[in-house]
Amino acid sequence: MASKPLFQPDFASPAHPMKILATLGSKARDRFEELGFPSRRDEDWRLTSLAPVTDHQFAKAPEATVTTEGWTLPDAVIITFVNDRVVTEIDKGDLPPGVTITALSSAAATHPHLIENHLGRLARIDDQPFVALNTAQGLEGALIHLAPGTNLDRPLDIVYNTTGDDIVTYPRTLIIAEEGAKATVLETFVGDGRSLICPVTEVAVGPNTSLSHTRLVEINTEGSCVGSLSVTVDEHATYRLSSAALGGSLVRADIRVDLVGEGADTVLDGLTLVGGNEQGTAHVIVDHRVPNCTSTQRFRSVLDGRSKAVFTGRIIVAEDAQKTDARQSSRSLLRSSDAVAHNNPQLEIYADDVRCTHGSTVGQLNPEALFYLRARGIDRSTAEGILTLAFAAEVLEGIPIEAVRSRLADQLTARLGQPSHQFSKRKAQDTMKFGDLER
Amino acid sequence: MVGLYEVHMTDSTTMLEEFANREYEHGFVTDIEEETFPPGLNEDVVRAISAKKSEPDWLTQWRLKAYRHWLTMEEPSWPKVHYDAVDYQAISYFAAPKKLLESLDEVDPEILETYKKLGIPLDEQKALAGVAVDAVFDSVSVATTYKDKLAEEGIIFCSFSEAVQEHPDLVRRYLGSVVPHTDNFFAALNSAVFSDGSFVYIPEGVRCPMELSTYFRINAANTGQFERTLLIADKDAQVSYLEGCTAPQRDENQLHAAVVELVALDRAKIKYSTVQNWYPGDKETGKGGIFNFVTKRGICGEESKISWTQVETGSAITWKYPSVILKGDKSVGEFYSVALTAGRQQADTGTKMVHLGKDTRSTIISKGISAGKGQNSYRGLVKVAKGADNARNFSQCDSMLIGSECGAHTFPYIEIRNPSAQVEHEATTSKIGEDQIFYCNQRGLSTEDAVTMIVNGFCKEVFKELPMEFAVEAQKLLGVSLEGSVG
Repeated sequence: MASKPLFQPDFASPAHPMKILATLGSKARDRFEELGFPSRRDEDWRLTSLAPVTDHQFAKAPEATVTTEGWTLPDAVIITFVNDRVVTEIDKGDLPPGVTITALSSAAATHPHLIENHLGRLARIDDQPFVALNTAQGLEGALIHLAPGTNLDRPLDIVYNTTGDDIVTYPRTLIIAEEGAKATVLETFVGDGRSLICPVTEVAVGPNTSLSHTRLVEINTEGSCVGSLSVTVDEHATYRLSSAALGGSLVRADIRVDLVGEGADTVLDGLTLVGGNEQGTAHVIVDHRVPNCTSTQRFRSVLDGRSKAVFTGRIIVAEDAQKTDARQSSRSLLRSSDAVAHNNPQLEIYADDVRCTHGSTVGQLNPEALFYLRARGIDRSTAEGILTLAFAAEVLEGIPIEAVRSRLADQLTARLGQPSHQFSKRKAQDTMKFGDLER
Repeated sequence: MVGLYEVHMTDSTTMLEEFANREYEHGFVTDIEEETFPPGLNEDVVRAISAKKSEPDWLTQWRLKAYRHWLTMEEPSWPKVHYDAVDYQAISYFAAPKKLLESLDEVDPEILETYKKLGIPLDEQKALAGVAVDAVFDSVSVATTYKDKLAEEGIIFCSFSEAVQEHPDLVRRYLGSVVPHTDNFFAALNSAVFSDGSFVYIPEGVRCPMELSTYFRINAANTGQFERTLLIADKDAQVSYLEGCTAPQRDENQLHAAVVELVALDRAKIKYSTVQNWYPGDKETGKGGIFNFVTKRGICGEESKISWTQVETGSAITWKYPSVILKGDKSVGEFYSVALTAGRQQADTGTKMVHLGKDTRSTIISKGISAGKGQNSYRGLVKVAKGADNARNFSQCDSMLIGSECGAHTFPYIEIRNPSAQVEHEATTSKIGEDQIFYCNQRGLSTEDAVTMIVNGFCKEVFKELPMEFAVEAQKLLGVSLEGSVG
């Protein structure tokens, strides 16, 4: 066992105004103190080096304003947090009736029943140290409630900024979409320094509801983000997730989707791009608890430098969950001989009338495809960039918001190192039928 | 030969009924005198085992080193199996038929009778097509045949104890070279207390003229059996080795922690086949079955090949990952497996393919069948080291579920450190489709026949890798799984 971690979380937070929050917080603190940070002896954390988190002292984030205006989604409903404090609240007049979007801190007074009934119900503090850590803190973040039948016609953009060095933030999102509701949500975690973000998101998708969720982690190479996302999907509801992380010292997402109502459907896409000494991990559990549900997982990772990417994806099919159709594919692209990819797809199946498949590949760019492009006068690095974009395309194309999709494609191109002047986008389209990159 | 892999309908129907209704047929106990150590394990026991076998001092020290290391280790808890904790002090670590025998004539008639019941009568073995059998009865090999014929080729095929006496240099050189005594909890235990096993050495350039075979049979209640097998194929040598097991019915769990080490030097080829049918425990309660915690591993030199084929149908708990370390350039590793869990059986099995050399290739074909309340897990590792340029792996793990109370799980681990690697993994889980049954019914086949046919078809890729005798046995053993699946 490693020596005592340098990072000692500060639990001296102001007492929560609501008793329920105070109780939840202190329970989580006790739990975290019992659990401590996960060790590599823990199977779920065996492949994650927590050094970027534990070998560093992070202080609670001070109040701050963001120096550079971050990117926000055009024509969207926007709620912004900086260092665990809400900075732009939503004008209620902007929202259709039945839609509530507010900071958790103010919701304690205005919507106590929502918090009481939902907060901390999905994210498990019992076996997830980082969820316990988040819950033990300020419990500030966004509360989204969609009353039955409401339709949020504009996308919702939740932005969590973490600004400064040597600080830690604990964003918390709670989304409750009731029967027949419909919404598109973008959740972005932005960090500009050597900081740690520990977000927890809980999503309850009610019957016949359709929720589209995009989760972006945009931090620099010194920052880390260790987050969790817990979702329940009720009968005949659809939950779509597109998750992307472009770099970071340690970027890990523990995603759990429980299909709890018959006919529920979920599609989970993930893209991890790491280079240098970065580490990217997606740890996914899809739990089919009832019959007739479908799930699809598509996870891709692109590795450069001495980086490491880990995908662990488990499909659980409960004893009575007959007629389950679960698919999973995980692919890793190694662009360097020093990078390491781990793919651990797992199936745990207790019902007999099911269809479960997983496929996993690890490899490098196809030399023949590379040759094809180079034979047409495209230089090596541009050609590699094109092929890498094509590799990521399946996940990019799944992103429901056009503006996010093209922004991500641009970021990807920039990260891959060749904005490429001579290479026209027209050509890309011809070669790869990758029209979505056109802006 | 052609008909072997086809399903004979009348045969299989009879077979079905036979298996569905039978008690475990190999569950009898032979009464013979045995010399058994009292239960318990300490350094004196380790020394006593070594002394009993008149082992040289280096081996005694090796055992003690393993024992001391074992004391520092914890029993692994990561396999997806559940069983009552084993009390290692309640096990007796040595049991041997009392008299040492010099020829077949001296073999206890009761033992010979036991083999007859198992269908491998020793005195008829010469008639068995080209198969030399080194029969292990409990911990000491009691008889070896065909030795002379093998000796002509310079092949050594004997019990492990004999090898220690007669070929100490070879044993010393290779023992623990593939599975070190520090490898894992059960390998360390085995290294300390291993009783006996088989030793095979194929000299350079020799192609073994017959298939070598060892039949294991666990006897004597409360005696863990700790075989140690060491198989060395020198440069350009070739050998096919068969291992098959049955065991008597018992009420107390019997621990079995074997270690098998294969060494394939440059351009050598080793094919190692196993049919395992130990007592799986009571159908309803799972009581009394064998705990099968085995470490099997081979190491490949340049351009050599190791192929594991296993049909696992017995044991209450199976914990087994036959592995290949592809150390030499252009070496090849293969793993073909059918694992079946019925009743209350639990299996956590798979393989590890560790690619170290350049241009190495590995293939993994795993078929898991779960029936009754069985829990079947595939757990495998494909690792491509940094220097293993152009490594290739293909893995396919298919599971079939029969009945609604069983489970099928897949836990592949893929770790790649070289970008030129091409690694593919596929897994599917399915049940026998109603449409498939309907199709067969329409053509006049009964549902039972259809199920037999489909299950055999499901496993065909693995069966075709088995030597003929085993393929027949394997198909019969699978019949057990079909019980209760029809209707």
